Amino acid sequence: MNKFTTSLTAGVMAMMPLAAFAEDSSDPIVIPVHNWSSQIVMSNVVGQIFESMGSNVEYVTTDSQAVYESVRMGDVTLEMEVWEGAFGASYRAALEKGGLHDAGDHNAVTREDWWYPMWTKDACPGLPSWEALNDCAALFATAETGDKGRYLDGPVDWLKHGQERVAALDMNFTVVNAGSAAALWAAIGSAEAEKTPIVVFNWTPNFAEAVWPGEFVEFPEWEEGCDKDPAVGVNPDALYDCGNPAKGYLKKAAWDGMKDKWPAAYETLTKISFTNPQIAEMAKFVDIDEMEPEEAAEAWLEANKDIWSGWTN
Amino acid sequence: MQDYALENPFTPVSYSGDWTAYSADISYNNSGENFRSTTGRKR
Repeated sequence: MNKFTTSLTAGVMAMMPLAAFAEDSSDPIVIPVHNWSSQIVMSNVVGQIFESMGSNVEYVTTDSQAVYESVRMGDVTLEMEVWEGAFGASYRAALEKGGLHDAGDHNAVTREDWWYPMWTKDACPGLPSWEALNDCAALFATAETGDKGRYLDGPVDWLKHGQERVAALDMNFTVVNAGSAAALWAAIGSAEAEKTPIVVFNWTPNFAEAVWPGEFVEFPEWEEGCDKDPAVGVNPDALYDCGNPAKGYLKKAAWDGMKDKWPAAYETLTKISFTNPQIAEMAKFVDIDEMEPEEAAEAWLEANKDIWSGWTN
Repeated sequence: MQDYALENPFTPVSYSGDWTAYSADISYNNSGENFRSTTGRKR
């Protein structure tokens, strides 16, 4: 190597991000995708970031509970959305068996509970207190519920225990189950036209918060055992007399072998952190704007270069 | 419009309740087409 080449190479290398020095395997990083929009788009976002760093990526559709066993065994490389409330038990079980580890939290919280769009608060200013909501019950009355307020719960087979909550807290509400998640969104959209007060089952992060700003109702704080032991909670004779956990984590998990096989990609994975609004926006691209997941990922990366470019060096 | 019912991770629709039933023969050859069928969305 002559002097010119040596100095040229040194100059180029000085401009390269540190991660570029690491030698990642050319084997594909296997990224699992599930059946809700934010996870699919986020997985594509991260996959495209890895590809921009020179890695090969493969996407596989997997069960959202069994995936932790897949990660533990190295059949898939990582998981981008570990929701505490939904997947914490499967994640912890795999963690105890060994083979995967915590790759850091997103700057986001996960939660499911009674929720209202913000215009509802104009009519019932004591919100988000559940007691204030109860005092305003008449505002939510429909022909179907008579003088009681309507709470539009998720589909019956989601088993969200809205009826038990109403009974345990002696609320002036009647629980009506939506036929599908689409019916929940349709009801909010319909109420929006006249700014009619409405309270429905919802969860975060999803696309809804990117469309309708809103808040969760604050019920008596969740206590472990509230769903299993009547003595736990404000009503000593009833289960479900509390809200759901309000600050569930959203975590990344990685196969233990990833950091040795793809050190640069692993380093990037540990830096990645999405917020609730960012995740909601990813879902909105698919759910509302009807983009394909890979297109949504491209759009998100294009619009947020300043956010993700720092994760790759 | 896709099937929104598939989009609540708090209620995973594919969960059988027995995550230990995992076997290694998960599909490894899924393309973008599978994403679309998974989310049930048609353009």
